[in-house]
Amino acid sequence: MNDDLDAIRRVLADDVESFRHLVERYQRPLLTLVRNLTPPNTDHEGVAQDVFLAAFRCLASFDPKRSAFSTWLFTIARNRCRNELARKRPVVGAELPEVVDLRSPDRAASEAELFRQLDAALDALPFEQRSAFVLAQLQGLSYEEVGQIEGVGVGTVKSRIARAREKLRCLLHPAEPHS
Amino acid sequence: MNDELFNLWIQRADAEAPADFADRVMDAVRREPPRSSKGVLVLLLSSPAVRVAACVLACLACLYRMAAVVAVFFIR
Repeated sequence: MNDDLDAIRRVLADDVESFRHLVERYQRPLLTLVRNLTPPNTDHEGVAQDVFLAAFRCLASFDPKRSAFSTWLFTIARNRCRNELARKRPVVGAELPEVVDLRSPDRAASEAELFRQLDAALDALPFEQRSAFVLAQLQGLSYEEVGQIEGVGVGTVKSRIARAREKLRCLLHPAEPHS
Repeated sequence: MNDELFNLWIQRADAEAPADFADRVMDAVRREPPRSSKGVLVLLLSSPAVRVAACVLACLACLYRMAAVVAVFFIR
C-alpha cells in the first residue's frame, strides 16, 4: 500500500518509470479481471493496457483517503469492461448452457466440458452479478471493497454474489432423479 | 457447491500475464504526451476553497454582465 503511494508520488513528480512498479504489481489481477468480465473474443491484453493508460492519465485525481489504489484501478477496469461488453454484445440474450452430468464414464472429459460450461454460464450472467462474483471470488476482495467498486452497499453485493453462485451451482449439481 | 471442482475452475480462471506485458504498457505510457496545464487545473480544482472562489468569481462576472445590460435602459 505504502509502496503504491510512493510510486504514485514519484510518477506525479514526472518520474514516469515508477509507474512500472504499479503495472508489475497489478498486471496479473487486472488481466484476470478483464478476462472474466469480457467476452472470450475480446483483446484482453489491449483492454488491460487501456486501463493502465487511463489510470496513468488520471493519476492526479486518485485520492488515497477515499480508497486503496487497487480499488480505484479495479473500478476503472470494471467500467471499461462494461463498456466493452456493451459494445460487443448490445443485446444480452445468452442463456445458461445445458447441464453436464459428471456421473458419465469419461469424467476428465466431463470436467473439461463442465469448465467450458461454467465459463459460458459466467458469460451469460447479468453484468452486475458477474462483476460482483468475479471481484469477490476470483480477486478475493472483501464485500466492502466490491461495494466501493460497484458503487452499492454490502447487502446488494451479497445478494448479487448469492444469485450468481446459485446459477453456477445448477451446473455443478445436476438435478437428482426423483425416486 | 462442489468445492473441489469449483476451486479448480477458480484456479483456471486466474490469468498469467505475458512476460513482456509490463514493457508494452510502459512503452505506451512513454508515448503519452507530457502532462499539460490541464493537470494543474485538475489539481487546483480539487481544493474546495479554489472551487468556491471560482464560483464566486463566475457569479460576480455574471452579475456584472447582467447589470451592464440593464444599465443600457437607465443610462438615459
